[in-house]
Amino acid sequence: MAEKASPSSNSISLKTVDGKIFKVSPAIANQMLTIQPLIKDSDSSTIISLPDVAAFHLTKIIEYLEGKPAAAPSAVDAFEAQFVKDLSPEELKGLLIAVGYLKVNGLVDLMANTVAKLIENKSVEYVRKFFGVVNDFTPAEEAKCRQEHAWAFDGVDED
Amino acid sequence: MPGFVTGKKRFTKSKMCYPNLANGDELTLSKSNHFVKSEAMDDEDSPILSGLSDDVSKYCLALVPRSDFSAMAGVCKRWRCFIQSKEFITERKLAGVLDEWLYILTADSEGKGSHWEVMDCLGRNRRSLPPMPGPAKAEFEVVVLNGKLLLVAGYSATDETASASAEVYQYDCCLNSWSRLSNMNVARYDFACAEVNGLVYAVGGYGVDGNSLASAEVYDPDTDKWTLIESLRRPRYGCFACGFEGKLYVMGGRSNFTIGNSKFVDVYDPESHSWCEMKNGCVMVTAHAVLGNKLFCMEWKNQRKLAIFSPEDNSWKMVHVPLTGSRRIGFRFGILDGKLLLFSLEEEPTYRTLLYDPNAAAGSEWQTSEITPSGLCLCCVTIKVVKAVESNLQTPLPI
Repeated sequence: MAEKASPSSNSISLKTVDGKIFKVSPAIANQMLTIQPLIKDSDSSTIISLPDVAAFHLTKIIEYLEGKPAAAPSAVDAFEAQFVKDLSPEELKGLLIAVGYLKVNGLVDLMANTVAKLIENKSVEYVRKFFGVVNDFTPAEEAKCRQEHAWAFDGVDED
Repeated sequence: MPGFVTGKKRFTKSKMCYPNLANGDELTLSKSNHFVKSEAMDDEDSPILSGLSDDVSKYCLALVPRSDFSAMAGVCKRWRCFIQSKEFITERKLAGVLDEWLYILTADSEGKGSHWEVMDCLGRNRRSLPPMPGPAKAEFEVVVLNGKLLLVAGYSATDETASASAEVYQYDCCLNSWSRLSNMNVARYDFACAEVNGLVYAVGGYGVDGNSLASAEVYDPDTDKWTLIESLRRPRYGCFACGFEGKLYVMGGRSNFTIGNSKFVDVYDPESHSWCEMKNGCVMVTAHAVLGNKLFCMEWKNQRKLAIFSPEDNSWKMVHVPLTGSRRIGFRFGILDGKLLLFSLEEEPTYRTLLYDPNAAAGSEWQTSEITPSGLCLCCVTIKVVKAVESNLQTPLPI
């Protein structure tokens, strides 16, 4: 996973799956719990490659870690709301996967909550399509499920 | 934050779930989803959300509001299985989104039959549960186990036959559906029933021939089996039970060998599999509920006082119920948010639901509550599973 590069500064180099190299400070890199053990064993010449993270997602993750206000919960809330506001559902999903893989401090919570909100009041078909889940119920089982959840929905949002 | 960092094993496993997430653009992502899916179809360990470790997926699903559970359970078998599991409740607890809902068995207005009503902690978002399955029953017991409602045994009367039943039904409040569990070993009604350490105990009552019973049995939800345990020393019926510190307490009712009502408390210790007796029980209890580490009872002889039992020192304390007038008034108990609800059994609207907070400052323990069932309350239990959606809470009630 780690390869040598020409020594430069005290920063950690992260290589995304699409070949881009990001230099981040150890303070930022340390908040990605998955690569934390690799940081300890590496020097400034090490490049850590992330086989499952695209440049777009890593940009967003770094943006979050660098931009998150240190204090005042209300400031954090505002920052987080702004952070997820412009993401499309597809971008959200991709980012959740990247965040889940890297185990980014704080961001797992935010992304999971955002994804949970996406499922809220959506039809079963929408949820299946969104997550790429195959319906493995028989028609009879499916009918039974529908009967069950008849009460839960007075109105489902438009997809 | 719940622990996502579960060591190397999980990490490697989750990596293996999406080896093909190559170019990072969204098209490839959905392609790789297809790949993972087809591979996962016949795999018990298939991921809940493809591309994500189950830790993160479960966390996401746990954060979805209650009103969407039954829809989520209709997505696929893997999701359904997770939403029905004990783990789902644990996960919600970790995510900090657990709260309480009241399930009230309410008498229908014609005086015939009854139905379950569910409402949130503010008495809003009311729904009726689907009808209880099986033949109509009376004198069954209700117990909450792992976020599910269990209806245990009872007296069933149809046109042809009337007798004690050994049937047990379970209501899953996440799926909004009833299912049948294993029968008990002994059909019984008017017995004592309570949960202790994740197991349900049923003690005494009347049997098939109307004979009083000393037998006792325990239900293990993991194996779906009832097993007989050591019987009481003498038959006991009309009694009730509660669990404290891993022990089962059986009180009230009558026993064949005492004249009048039994003042004895039978205590079962599951560790030693044996019963012992105490002599300071209460008699003719019309309502009871466990709140914190205390038992709250109302005795028939004085319905203007709460009798509060502390199992630590086996002591009783009396608290006066603030009622004016001289009319006799009965109550049913409910529990909500660490407080005791007293539902009036009078139909007149002048009798409000009372709220007793044992931890409130002296003088402000008693309040009234807006929570009122639509009919006579027969039984009320609290199930902690799910959090109400903020937006739903603000919508007006369709009552």
